[in-house]
Amino acid sequence: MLLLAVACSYAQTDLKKKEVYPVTSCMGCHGQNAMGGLGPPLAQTKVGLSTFRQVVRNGKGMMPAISEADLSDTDLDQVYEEVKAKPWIPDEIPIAFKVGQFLTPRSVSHFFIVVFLFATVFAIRGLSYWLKCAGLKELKPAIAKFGWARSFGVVLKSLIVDGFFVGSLWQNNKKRWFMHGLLLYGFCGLLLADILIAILNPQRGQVPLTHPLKLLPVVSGIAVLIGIFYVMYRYKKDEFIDNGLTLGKDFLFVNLLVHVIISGFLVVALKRMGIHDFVMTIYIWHLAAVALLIATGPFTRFQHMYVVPALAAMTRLTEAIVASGVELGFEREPSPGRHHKSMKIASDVMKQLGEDGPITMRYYP
Amino acid sequence: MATRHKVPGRAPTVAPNEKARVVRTTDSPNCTGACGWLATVVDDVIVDLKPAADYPCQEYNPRGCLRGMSMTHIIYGPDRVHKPLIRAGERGENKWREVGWDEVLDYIADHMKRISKDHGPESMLLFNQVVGTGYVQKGAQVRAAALLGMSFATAYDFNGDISMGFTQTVGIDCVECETRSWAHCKTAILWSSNIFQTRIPDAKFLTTHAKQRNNCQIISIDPRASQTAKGADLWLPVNPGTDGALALSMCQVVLKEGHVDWAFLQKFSDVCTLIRQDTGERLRASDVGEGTEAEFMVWDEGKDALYKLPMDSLKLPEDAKFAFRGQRTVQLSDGTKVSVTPVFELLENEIMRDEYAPEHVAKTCDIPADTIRQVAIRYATERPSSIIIGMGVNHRLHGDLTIRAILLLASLVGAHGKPGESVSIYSGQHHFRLDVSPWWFPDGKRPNGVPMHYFVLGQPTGTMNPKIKFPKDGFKALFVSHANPLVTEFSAPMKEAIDRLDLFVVTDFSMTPTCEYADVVLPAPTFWEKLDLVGTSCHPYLQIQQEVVKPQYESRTEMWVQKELLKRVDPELAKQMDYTEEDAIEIMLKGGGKEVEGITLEMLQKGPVRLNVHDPECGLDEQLHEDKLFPPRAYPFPEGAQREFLKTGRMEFYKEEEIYQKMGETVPTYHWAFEHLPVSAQEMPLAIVTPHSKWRVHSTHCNNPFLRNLNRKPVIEINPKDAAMRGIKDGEAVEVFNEFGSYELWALVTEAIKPGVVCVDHGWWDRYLGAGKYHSVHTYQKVKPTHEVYYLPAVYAPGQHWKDTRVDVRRVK
Amino acid sequence: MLIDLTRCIGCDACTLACKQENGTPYDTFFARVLNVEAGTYPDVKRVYIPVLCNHCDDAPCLKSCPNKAIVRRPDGIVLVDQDRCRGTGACVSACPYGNIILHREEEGWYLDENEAYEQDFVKLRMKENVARKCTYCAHRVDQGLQPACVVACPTTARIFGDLEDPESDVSTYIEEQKEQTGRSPFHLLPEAETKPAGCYLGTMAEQRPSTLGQSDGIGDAKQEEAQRTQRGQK
Repeated sequence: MLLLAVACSYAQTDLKKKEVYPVTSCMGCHGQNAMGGLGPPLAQTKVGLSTFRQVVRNGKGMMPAISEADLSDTDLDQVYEEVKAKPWIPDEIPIAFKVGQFLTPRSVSHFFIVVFLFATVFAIRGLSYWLKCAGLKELKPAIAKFGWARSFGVVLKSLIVDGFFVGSLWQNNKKRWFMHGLLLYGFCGLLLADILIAILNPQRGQVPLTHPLKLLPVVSGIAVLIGIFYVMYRYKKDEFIDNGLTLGKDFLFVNLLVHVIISGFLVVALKRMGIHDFVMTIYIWHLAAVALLIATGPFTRFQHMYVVPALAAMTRLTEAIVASGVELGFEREPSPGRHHKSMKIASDVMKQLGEDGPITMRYYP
Repeated sequence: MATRHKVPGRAPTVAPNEKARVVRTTDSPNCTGACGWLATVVDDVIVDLKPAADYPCQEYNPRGCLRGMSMTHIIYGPDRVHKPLIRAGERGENKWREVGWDEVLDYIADHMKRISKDHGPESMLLFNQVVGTGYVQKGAQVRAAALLGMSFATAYDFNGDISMGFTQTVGIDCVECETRSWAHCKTAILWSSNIFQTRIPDAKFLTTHAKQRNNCQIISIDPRASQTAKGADLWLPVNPGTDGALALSMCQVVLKEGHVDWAFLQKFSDVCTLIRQDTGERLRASDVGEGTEAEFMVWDEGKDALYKLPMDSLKLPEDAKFAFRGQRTVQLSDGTKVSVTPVFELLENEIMRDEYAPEHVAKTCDIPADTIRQVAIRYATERPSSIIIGMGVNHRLHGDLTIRAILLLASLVGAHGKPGESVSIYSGQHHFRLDVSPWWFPDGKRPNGVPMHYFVLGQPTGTMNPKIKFPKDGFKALFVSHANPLVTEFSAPMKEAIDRLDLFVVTDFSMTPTCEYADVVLPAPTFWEKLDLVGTSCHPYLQIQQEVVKPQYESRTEMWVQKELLKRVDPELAKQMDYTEEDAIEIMLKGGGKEVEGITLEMLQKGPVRLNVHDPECGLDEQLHEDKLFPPRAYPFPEGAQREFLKTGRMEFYKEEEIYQKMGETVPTYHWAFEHLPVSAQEMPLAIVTPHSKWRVHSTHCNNPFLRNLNRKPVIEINPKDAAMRGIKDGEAVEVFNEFGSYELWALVTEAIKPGVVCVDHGWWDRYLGAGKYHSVHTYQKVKPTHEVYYLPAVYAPGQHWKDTRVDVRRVK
Repeated sequence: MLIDLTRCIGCDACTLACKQENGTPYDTFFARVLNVEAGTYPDVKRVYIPVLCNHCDDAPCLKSCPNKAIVRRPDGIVLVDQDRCRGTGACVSACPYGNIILHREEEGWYLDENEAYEQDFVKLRMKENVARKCTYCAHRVDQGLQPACVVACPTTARIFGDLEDPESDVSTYIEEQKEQTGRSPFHLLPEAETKPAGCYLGTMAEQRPSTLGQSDGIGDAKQEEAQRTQRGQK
């Protein structure tokens, strides 16, 4: 709907006069007749020239700062004159402006906080389910014997080696590790870039392509793009991609990620190419895709980003406990490492058979 | 029979290997289960084993267990003996010279010729286990021993598997119903029997059939909540060694509550025969001039006169009403008057003693009096009811008394010989299913039977039966086959006896501790590598054991070895060994008696064939249904060989022989099991029980890597109370010790065992223990004089008393 | 698959039949039997619980696999694709029943290195460092055979079939038992919400070994002393 509304506002534009305003990037947001787009209407503006200049040069809210290189002082003044002279046509105030009004950095960040919170709640719920499956509660006595600090070390190491460096892929298939790395580290790069920009360049002032703040997201984006295309290629080629249970959810994740990356790149590309008309629309598309990606995260394949490292760490922890031999049950268990789960099953069955009270497991004879 | 596919991924399943060949065979380990298997063979390698499940009687399918299933890891296991070995160092040093068959056979033959010349052939002793399975190959060994005039010790009595209580009562060492008969039970008492572990393929008749269909009550009498207690409705943790008191107490309850089956007793037992007060012996027909010494008199209450029991059949006149009670005076043919009493009254006097009142026995056995009553009444009334006796009862010096008491209990209520009604003891497999003598004993020539006990003792006892021919210079050579006595029956005297030998030859497929102590080790094929004929007491099917793969490595069949050996020792005798396995089977089928009449080798090649026995076989069928005199014939002995120790031809609850009178054991009575031990041994605080393990057949499979993966360490089960007293925690290394010996293993602290009892499962090889030798704590060889009155190998012979052992346990520091 | 705990005698034949059929390495057991002990002497109860992969409808292992190496076939059998598995180990923890096995170290074997049995017929089929679990003997099922553990169970405690088909062995058995012994099947760890395909029938009501022994002062030396004295008096 949002996109549709923006599109509508552009449908009404026509190019008649040779003015400066229509060839600047201002028009992209403030409308053909300066009656507003995503940005507020500028026709009949009551703002003084000096304020106008200041706003243009420094940016305000969602409006990026525009340097002299992009818009000379003369042109700036001219634009001021032109827009001030434009007639006030209230009918032309597009719905987009009413939406755009809310697109302040504050509201966007609030929106994303909500989305994040939503995702986090479900992610934690999911994670606790997985940890329950992993038998963390039943493992506690063994961990206590093994030592909490030691356990933390094992888990941390696993999170780094198995999680962040994807040790299992590295060992098995370097090519797939690389492709997976493009996605994983690209994604991390994008996240990092977002955070850095929010800190270092909150007003999103124009920076050259070679600037690290620009380079990081672009390179990361390219990495993710290649990775995700490889994934899509595999989805097409791999006859066994359907595991009979999660195909739809997985596909949703891939699709959303493609949307996020492509829209992100389009925004950058269009801006650079000076095609300002669609920038804002596509940006909104981008934001929407990101929001959806995050919100659906706990339910799609996205979850494997945190579930797999957590579970792998649990596996390593159990392995370490078995190897240390501190807990007799683990050592005796015929398939070592499952004593805690065996105990859980056993007490569950005994409960279902109507026998409460403590139980013990005999491994031999 | 699908075999060894790739682990399924998503690729379509590959069809089974075209080279695969499936063979129907059976195995013959010492569990005597004789289960049918389908072996899949590719390139002469057994790649897969599955239960054959082809018994015509569907209830038997499938048969098999974890041990049979993991046999591949013995066949190809790391401990297989590959080549004949001759000792290169001292005994037990485990230094060997690998030699060829020619050399090793020459070596043995030379020794045999010399020993035979110097000390007589009977100084060479053959000891092979569980001869009841594998009639051909083990038979070949016995046949050769018979031809050479060697001595032969049946392992059956040395193991203690022989149940003298049965021999004394019914004239045969064991009575077994086919396991399918259990399915009919409404009450099943498992008296120290751990069926769920020791008879895995047959346990379904108790769970799936008896329990699920008849809601049978399973009662487990065992100081330890054994695996069987899992399926039991009632667990009676009896004090070890007090089972006799429990049985007699149950007899008392049955008598008091009036559940006695008088007709059964009158017809099938000796309880009406009259005992002379002056001699303590039975009143014979010859005493009163009415017949021979082999005929016995009872008092007919109808005619109020003496009546001579028929000795051609058990059939009695319909109006027969014999006296069970009452002292009478009769005039003997020489004119003297003696007072006589029916056996029943003597039994009753014993049973009704206060000592066997449930309240009293409750203290002895540590079972509440009400429970004893409840179980006894249930056994008498909720029929059919069965008792299955295990070795915890039998492996005791006074085990015979306990079994006699149990048999008395069953006879009082008449619980014999019907589907689901019997007293069975599945003790090893002496119970031959056919007469093997035509193959085993050429021209009736038998080896010199000697109980192994006397070999271990090194000399005869003062009371040894005169029939036994003990070699004049003692034993000089020992041939052990299919056995591992230095693990399962080890004692210091046994080691000394072996040390006295000139030649100690062991035939085995695994390098057992016994092999390690031998002079010569001969590699044997496993039962997957040789043709044989197999029967069992568990089910009435005769089966062929096929040569599924060729004898592995350089192993040779027993048949081949005996032929070659005889050729070297005495070429003339060797001619009598010139048969193939098929010939041997045909010889046995032809002369094997009525059980195998009409059964041919061809029929057996096709699958299991049911013997000509009752259906279902309930034990004592011929006696109880066809009125044939007791005892049932014990193959391979001739008809009538058992008559001397069951003179009345009926179940005997009174033993008249002098030694029984002297020992006060004429009627079933109760002696505390540890009574015969020295005081110092009696004072050890813990009784030890040594049940068969799920993971082994005796000591076989102890080294099976598959099973070792599950059963990693030898443990001693100990109650938390006893453990706490000694500061022992679960999993700690402990030493079990007494004056006889000691060994180290690990503690398993469990609530499932009675305080005051510890349990180590049977048959651990030395190398798996922490230290010491398994079985070294068990009491030394002793022979009960009542077991020496007669001698018939493995039927009337001395038993064992391994479980009359007391020990203590301490932490290893 | 239905497992009847009344019938099970804890013999471990399933465990070994599985090893025999699937040729799994050291310390790898797809089918296990839990040997459970409860209570204190003399009120001791023992229960055997055979466990194997439940082939859950909503399998956590499958959902946790980052490589999509775990797959649920249309017939409900959940398999670990040995070619896809990269040995991440997430599924090992994800399975609430502990039925997935992964050895990261070099795997142990049972026999000598030159034994054809293991070298030519067992090891060759195994890829190292991958997760493995029970397949319900999918290769046998595909040929119309029953899984090895079912065939080998000497007490026929395992009944295999399609739970959704009312005519199958397992469904008829469940119905029959409902009538005869009043038992209904239950699942392991219902709170894990995995919708397992493996279910259990409990022990029969009477089959709660009640012990009637006394628990005080049993078997101790004092009592035996008393017994001896008493024997002496006789």
